[in-house]
Amino acid sequence: MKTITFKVNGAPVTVDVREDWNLLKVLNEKLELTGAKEGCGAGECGACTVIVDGVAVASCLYPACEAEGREVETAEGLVLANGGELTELQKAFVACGAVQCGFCTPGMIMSAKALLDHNPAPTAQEVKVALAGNICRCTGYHQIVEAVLAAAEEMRK
Amino acid sequence: MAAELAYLRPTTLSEAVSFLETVAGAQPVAGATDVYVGIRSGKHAPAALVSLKAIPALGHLTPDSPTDAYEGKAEGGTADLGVLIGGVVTHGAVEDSEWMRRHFPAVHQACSGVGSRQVRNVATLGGNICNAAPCADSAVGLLLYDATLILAGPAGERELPLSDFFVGPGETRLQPAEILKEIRVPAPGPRTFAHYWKHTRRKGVELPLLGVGARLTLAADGTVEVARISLGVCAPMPTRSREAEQVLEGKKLTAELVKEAGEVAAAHALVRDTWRGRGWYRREMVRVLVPRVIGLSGALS
Amino acid sequence: MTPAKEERLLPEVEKPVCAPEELLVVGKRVPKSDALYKVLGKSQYIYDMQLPSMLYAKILWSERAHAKIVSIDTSEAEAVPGVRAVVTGYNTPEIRVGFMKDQPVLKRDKVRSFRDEVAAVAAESWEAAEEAVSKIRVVYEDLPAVFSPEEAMAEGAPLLHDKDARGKDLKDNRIRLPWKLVCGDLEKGKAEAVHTVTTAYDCPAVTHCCMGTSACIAVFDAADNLTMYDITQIPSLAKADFLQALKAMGVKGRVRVVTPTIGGGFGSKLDTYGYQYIAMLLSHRTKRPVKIVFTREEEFFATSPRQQASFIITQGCDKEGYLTFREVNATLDNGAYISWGATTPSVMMMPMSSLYRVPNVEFKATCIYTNNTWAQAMRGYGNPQATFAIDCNLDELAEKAGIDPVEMRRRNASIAGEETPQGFLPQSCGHGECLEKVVASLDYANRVHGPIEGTPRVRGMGFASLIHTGGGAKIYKSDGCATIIKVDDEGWVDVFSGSQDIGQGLDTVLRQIVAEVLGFKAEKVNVNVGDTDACGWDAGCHASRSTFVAGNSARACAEIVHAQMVANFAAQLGIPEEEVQIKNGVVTGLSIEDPEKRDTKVEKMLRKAHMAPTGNAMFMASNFWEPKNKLLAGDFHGNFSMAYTYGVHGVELEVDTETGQVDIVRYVAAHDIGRAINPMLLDGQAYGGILQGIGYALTEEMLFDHGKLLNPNFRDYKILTCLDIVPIEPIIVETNDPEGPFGAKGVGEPGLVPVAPAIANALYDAVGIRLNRLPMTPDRILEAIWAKEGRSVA
Repeated sequence: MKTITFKVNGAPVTVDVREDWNLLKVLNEKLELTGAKEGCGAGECGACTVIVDGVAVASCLYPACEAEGREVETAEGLVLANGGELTELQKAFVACGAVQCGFCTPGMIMSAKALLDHNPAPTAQEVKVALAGNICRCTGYHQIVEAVLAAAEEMRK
Repeated sequence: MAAELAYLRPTTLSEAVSFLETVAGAQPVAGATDVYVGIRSGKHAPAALVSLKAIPALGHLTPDSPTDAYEGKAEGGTADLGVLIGGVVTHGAVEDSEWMRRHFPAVHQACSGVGSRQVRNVATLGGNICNAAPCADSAVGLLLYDATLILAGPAGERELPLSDFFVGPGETRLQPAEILKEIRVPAPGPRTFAHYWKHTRRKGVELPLLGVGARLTLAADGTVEVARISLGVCAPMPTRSREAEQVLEGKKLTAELVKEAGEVAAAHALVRDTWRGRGWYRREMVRVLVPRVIGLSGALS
Repeated sequence: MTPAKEERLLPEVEKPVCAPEELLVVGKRVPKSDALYKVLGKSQYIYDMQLPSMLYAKILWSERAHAKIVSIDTSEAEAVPGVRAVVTGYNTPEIRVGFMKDQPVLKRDKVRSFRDEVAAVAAESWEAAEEAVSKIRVVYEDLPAVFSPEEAMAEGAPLLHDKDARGKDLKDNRIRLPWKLVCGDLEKGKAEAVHTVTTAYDCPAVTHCCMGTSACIAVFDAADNLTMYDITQIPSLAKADFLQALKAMGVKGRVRVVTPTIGGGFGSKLDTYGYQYIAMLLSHRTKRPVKIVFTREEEFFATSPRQQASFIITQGCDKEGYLTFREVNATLDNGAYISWGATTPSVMMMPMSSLYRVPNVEFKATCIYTNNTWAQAMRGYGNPQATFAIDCNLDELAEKAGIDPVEMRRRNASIAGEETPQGFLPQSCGHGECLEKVVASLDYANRVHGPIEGTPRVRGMGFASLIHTGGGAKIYKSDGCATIIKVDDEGWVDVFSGSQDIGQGLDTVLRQIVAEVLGFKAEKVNVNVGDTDACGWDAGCHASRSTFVAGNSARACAEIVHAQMVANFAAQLGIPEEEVQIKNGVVTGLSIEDPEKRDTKVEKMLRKAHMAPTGNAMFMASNFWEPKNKLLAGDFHGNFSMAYTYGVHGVELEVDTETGQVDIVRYVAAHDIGRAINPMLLDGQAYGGILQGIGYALTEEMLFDHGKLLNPNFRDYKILTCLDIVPIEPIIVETNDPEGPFGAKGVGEPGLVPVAPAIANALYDAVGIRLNRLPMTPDRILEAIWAKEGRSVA
């Protein structure tokens, strides 16, 4: 077991973990942050996507110990980081019909956020590349891409 | 209950090598995207993981020139500078590098297509190469530029051409406790054209069915000075088609010539016939894609 | 005997009462009710649920396709620290599943496929359970196995089942199901045909890939009452199944089924599975809650995929291209046990008899046991498979008859009010309108067709149609749905529906319907589903029935509550009932002139009603709504839905003739859905269904090696990603069905049904090859292009 300290959604946390755990397990079981989910356990579906030090990662393949000293962002922390308001991305996902069963949604939003944090004016193609690692079986992706582009436009205002 | 796997985080290269030497069952890890999948499937069963991510000496992506800034020197299609890629540089870092996109387009294309953005954000070229899958996109791209590897181990550092590094699927010439420190890519020279194409069944989250790379460096009169044709999944490891290269070198490029290069590459490709892809189809794709990739590189125009 | 054409027409139907402009909530792009929780990462799925003293269970799956179980030694497993129970078919009472009850949930004596459950362990942690499972020693004695209907019906083939569930001897691997439909006079139709074409088609298994894997938690209370936390699409029917299981276990308790947020359905959860009963057995034995969650690999190999089907179809037409007959023989690889896959022929009959107008039809289907995986329901339930055969063959017939494929469809398009040969009575039918809209949008008349100069690509366009149930589907004796509505003193409305939200937005549709009828704001209406203690019965979320049946039930129930409120408010205001209007949560006495007294907030009126000096009233009602459709008679004739959804898809694509790759340039899909209750959710069903259809057509395939699944992961099972999307234009056609709630019909499945044939037909238009087997992968396309040129792949 190892004790690791890192930031989650702006707040420092200290957790005891087995050294062979992945970050997803820590989030789900130790920190009760269940937005990111195990959809495949092999880094292929994106349902476990969170942001670590500003970039989107598959938390099911991210070693827990590697999070030491780093900053992790999850879907649950978006409102707090936005002064208590829903972010444009979250609003757009709701308004554009980008959410059906919702299992992929938290991971999808974090991938989209990581994109917009680096590229505030993406093309549709750039959005698709950023979201290529987030599988959705319900929506067919159109309304998701629409939501990301709408949010980006809103944020540029 | 299975014994807990130790996760070690050295901050210097010598510390990492020392861990690998002294800790029983230790395995190096960078992005963990291959290693964690391997542990879950039972392919690997290390007793300890030695993370290389915190080692500054492995993190650089720099043009290889001690004095000149590149601005103003390199223009579309040529590069007077090589590049030094540290062992834990991520595919994402290469993807985001405008400089790599312009000067090493085939490596840029190869890295940009790996997995997904989430994977590319953590997965490293060093890890991809050492994992030595026959499809390793970054390796297939780097073979076009005659990259060499700097390996660091208990006995010191040594240099090895990338083309000599692979022994078989998942097998390399890495010695015990050795780490891939750096990938050195020499300047390709002016009038260099290159392209990498990943052939897949869908457009995202794909391992290639096959990968085809082409690099041509032309002399002032347009004859091919250097030809490199690299293939992924067409042999037990990323490989070059030297037979196809011989067809091209010393000649002027024409549609017929590149077509012949494709035929020759296809004839010699060691493709497999599996449920993932039929042998005849893979071979035909080599034949079709080699000329196409040469065309996409811009060398013909 | 088919009545004369004039007699078969129904009387003209009147348009429904409300025009679109009058609606305040219905017809609007209202966001999904629970989307907020989902974007906050706060929606509770079963994976997130922890109960006190909960145990974790894993299943041991068979290691053989077909073998006798000689012995099962669980002693080492039981000794693993943290293990609390190990169950097998030998230490538990037998529970059988599947509508023909041929499958015990834990196998005894024999395994018949790689997904047979042989044992299960409940332990204090996942790791302990996994370790224990790995230590269970099973000795098998191999039996010869069969992996196709041909092998299973060959002479000397091993019998998978010696007896059926009633103990009757079985002589071969054929399943005794009566799938034969005869409409009209086939011989007459054949005699009238000038052109005929016969083709064989093959549709393999594909799988749902719900992002949330199969899971449940079983827990008994102190009085032996069971609560199943379950992600089922059929809460009421699952409850009945679980009650039966409790009986088999000798347990006298009641059952409550509760569904947390479901991570995708698509038909995967229309039957109960072994794992649910295994959780119950383990929970009852340990007296603790037991949770099972499938890994992604288990989700791939241990859940039931779409039914595989092979068809031989012949269609014939007269010299003008009007269909005179359709004759189809289908063979289904049933797999090791019987579940809903074996009933897909009952739904295949729908397009067989009623897709396009064809007066004489004969359809037969045979289901054969094999040692392969066994199928359940998947979006379309046999319709996509059947439509692939019908609509591809139709194009071939059109060509033979010298008729343009669009014109062929125009001539044979279904008509509103005309009874179909199977006895369906579509009161609304927008088939022709859908066709014209798709053809116009794709500008078919001026299409770019043929090779693209200077490239190896060739362009083509193709079409296909669909018919699907849109007004319920009478597959049980009841196709109804119960709704309960109550209104409190503050104007909050609670709706309890027996139906289910599987992500498609049923919760939102019901909210809109109830709000519209009551005259309340949508935000004040709260819809509850997924708790059999609070909600009434429903046949389940399938057959695209929920908007129609649950919607009608909610509408009818809301009308009762509305009438109660109007009567009470009229008395309060001292005006006739006709002059009371409730709109946007405001009660207006239309005939009251004094502006102070004219409008009142509904909460105020509700409180006055409740706290009145006498005659205290609160408003609530219940309704059980049974559609007037018919359970199909023994000959399968009858109007088994109250409304039918139609559609046409058109696709323009390019084929790279050197690599065989297909690029869809444009996809246009028109669906006649009666009325769009929520156009945004409707588009979501179109985009989602079409992309699943494209995967079915081009990339998805479960690959087996002697019964073992080779690709149980997202790496090798080619589900499409965001980068694979193509330009899709969904067109909504509204024909205002007289029976649907506000005119609406169902749309959950139609989006997927005609995709594969539309693409196959476009492929033919482009490169002149017909692929009769799915998926149409680049290597198969290239092989076919070469074959046409006389080249072989060897």
